[in-house]
Amino acid sequence: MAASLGNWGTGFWVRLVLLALLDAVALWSSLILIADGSVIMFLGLVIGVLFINWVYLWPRTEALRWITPGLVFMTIFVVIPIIYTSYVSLTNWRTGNVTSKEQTIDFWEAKVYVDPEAEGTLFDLFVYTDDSGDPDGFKLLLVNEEGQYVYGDPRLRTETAIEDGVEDEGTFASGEEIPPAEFNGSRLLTQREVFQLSTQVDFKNLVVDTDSGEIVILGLSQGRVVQASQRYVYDEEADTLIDTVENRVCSPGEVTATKGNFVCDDGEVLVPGWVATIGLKNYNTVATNPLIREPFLRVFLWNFVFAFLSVATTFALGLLLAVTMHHYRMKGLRFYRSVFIIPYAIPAFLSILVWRGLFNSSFGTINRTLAPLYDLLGIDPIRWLSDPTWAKVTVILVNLWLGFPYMFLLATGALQSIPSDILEAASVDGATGGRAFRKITFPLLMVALAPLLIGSFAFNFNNFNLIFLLTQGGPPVLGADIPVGHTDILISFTFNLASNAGRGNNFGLASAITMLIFFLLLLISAFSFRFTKRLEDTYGGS
Amino acid sequence: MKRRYTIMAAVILAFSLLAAACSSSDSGDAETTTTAAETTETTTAPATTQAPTTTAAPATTEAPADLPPLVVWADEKRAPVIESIAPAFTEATGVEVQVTLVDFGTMKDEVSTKGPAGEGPDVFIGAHDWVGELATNGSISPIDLGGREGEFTETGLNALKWDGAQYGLPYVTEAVAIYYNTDLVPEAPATMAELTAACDAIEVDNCLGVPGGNDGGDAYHHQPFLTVDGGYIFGYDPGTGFDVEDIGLGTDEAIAGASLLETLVTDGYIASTNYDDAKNLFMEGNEAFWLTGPWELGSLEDQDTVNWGVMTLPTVDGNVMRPFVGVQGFYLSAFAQNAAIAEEFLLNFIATDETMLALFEADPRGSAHIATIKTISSDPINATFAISGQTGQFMPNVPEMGAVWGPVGDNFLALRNGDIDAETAMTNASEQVTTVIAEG
Repeated sequence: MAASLGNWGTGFWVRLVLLALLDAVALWSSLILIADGSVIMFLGLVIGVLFINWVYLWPRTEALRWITPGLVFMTIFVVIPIIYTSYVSLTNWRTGNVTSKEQTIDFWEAKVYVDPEAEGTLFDLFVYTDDSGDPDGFKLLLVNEEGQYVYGDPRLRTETAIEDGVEDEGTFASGEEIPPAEFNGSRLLTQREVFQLSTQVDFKNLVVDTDSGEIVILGLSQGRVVQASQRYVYDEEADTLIDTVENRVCSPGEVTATKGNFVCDDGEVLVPGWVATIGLKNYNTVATNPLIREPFLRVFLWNFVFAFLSVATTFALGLLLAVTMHHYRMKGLRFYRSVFIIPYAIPAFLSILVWRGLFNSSFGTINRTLAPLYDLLGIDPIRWLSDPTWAKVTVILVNLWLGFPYMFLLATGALQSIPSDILEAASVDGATGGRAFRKITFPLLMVALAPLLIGSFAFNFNNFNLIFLLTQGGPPVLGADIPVGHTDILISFTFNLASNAGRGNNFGLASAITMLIFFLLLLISAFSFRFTKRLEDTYGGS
Repeated sequence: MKRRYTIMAAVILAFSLLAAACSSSDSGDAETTTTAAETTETTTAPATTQAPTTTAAPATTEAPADLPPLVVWADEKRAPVIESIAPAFTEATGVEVQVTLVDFGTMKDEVSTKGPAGEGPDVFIGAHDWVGELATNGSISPIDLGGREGEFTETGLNALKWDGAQYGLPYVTEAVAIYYNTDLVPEAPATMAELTAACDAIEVDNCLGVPGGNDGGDAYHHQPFLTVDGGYIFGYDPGTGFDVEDIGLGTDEAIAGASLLETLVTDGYIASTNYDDAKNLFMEGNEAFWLTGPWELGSLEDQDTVNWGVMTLPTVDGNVMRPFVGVQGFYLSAFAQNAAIAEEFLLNFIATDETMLALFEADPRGSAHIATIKTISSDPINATFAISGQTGQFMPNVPEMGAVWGPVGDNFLALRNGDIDAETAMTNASEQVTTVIAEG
């Protein structure tokens, strides 16, 4: 491949067009990002695209050209999620703190205080226009049940009262049509026109001043006489909310516990608040709160055992089958191999649910089949999913069924790659059968398979699907301080914590645990790869 | 060498500018995204008329702005009904209705996370026990029913109240009753003693099927037992709502109710069945009674193995079992692009006799709309479920309920499996709920 930058061949033009396309898309998305005000995304995009352009345009970046696609995917699918999760783990994102600070202020400023004493007459609302084309040229007609009406100009609640807002007042005679199609020279707007107008006028913030008080507009077809006022006013200078009803000042919380909420000077914390960074508080909670630490240890231990046994059992069965199939006198290989792949071909999501039904202790096929045996031995039926120990066994068994085809495929491939002359040489030296397998085949297999086993361990460590679909973490640990199940692994425990914490969701805390799981796996993997390296040094390079 | 790179850079720049220009006018994908961006811009203008200067439209938007569509999130059963009334609304108002299918189970979290990002709905259908969490998050707005409160049941309205304000338009109230096999039990028993006597008289795999045993914990279906002697989860006062400090799970009354369940379990009247077990046994004709809700009416109507009827929950020594009442309603998002229009939609197009009846027919759970209840109660089955809805207590709508489902379900499960007795179960549950709330 001599199609480097030096010549103007086809490869060069293809590269040019692809880059131009990429730049076009990037340019277009960056415009949207700017319009949205997402500065960080915009900067990330610009840096990424500049990097890609540099790599593919400048000379002497040949090595980078091969690895860049990989780098891009790694960034998008691995690095960014990790960065985002670690960011969330430093925030108080949970029920009650899900919006931005601006949205929180909007929320409180939109709170209308209605004097409970003054809740009064309900009016029907009709909108009239003078058809002058002036967007201000509309008037409201409010009619109550008795036919009494008020007609006049509205104002926004935030504005000062209009002195002569009411143009006409009176009572409709009983036979009169309400609303009249024409009133004081103005035309009744159709519903469609009212809706059109509502995109320009904030109806829910309109007020009509009358001598007997304000009529607050409730929507597009109703108004009510009430005493209503904006309760909280935001002071941008001081960054405080002023409560006009109870005369108190609320400022953003200072200590970690109240960060992200306005705290009033009488001590009340205003909920909702916003998503704020709270440093390492979530990690601190994991480490110090005994209610999390105690189940965390129990869950961690089982998690480790589960992942280890999952890999060990699937690998053992897969290897056994592969070695059996590998024997030269084995017949019908194609058939057996197809059969062994079946569990791998059925979506795990389905087969787990099927297994759940089969293992049902009262009505499942397994216990119904075993019923005569139980009678013979005089024991109670095994509670596959609701007994603490058996539930763990069941989880491992189902995972064995799901996982062995993968190991079988791997081991088959690796076995075929071991040159037969090594084994022939060994047999000449007197090593045959079990001894040859132990001393030669197995170590050579491990060189190829060990990294994959580590990957399998990491996968099973976070095997949320299996636990969630098969046992939901159950059976419950009786008498535990907080709800936790005997088969809960860290990720399912975290999921419960995130979605069913004391008051709704706690994404911040869940992210902190997720990050801990991530570092844990990183550590285990790093350690194991070192071990593999040693294996490779000893047996590899043949 | 230098010159070549300059040419290349120039070519790329020209090409990409051209492509960017094309993409915003020609290509379909680009089209929709840009218009979406435009609509957001135009509609945020009126939404921010907090600024005192604008009484009406800003001078710049003289031509009538395109009305943004009304986005409704509903699950697959209710969505078709909303879609069927959409043309009438568009006809009358010029506002398009966009119905988005969202799974009921994920609706609450989707609303909480997508609303603030500006990708949420204007109106959505949800369960009443979300109201606390959603209001706490600032995700929903109160609505003024404008004097039409009388059209809805009190339970429905109260369930959707939070902090004194009415959030949402109630439309479903549902509670469990008991289905019974009329071939096995010709006459519906009125008391628990009659019920067990009826089972003694026949040969059947399981007498009373109650979900929440075997391997699937379930606090919801055990509520009738918890309440039969006056037990409760959180103390309730109609004025102030639920008091999460007052946890009634460990009280003598709650333990007495759980003991009734324990006795029925140990005497063999209630087998350890999870939801599907209870259902399958009944459907096969191997269960005399099945305690569950109106959402299973459809599956019973679809089969012809068993003849069945519906009865109210039996009394126990004169005490009434009070099931959980679930209310569902239409919520108004706090991030609605045009709340006034959304409210009009709810009050004048959803809260009508026709729509309420159509919603009931699409998914026959009990109604919260009084006129609809009257219409459907000519059917004895609907009438029976309506009685359940009236005797029950509505599920607490505080976010702290998140801390209740797990522990209560777990401990009832252990009780059903014979692992612990009633007193331990209720004390454990009470302690766990207390700790989780305190810690959360």
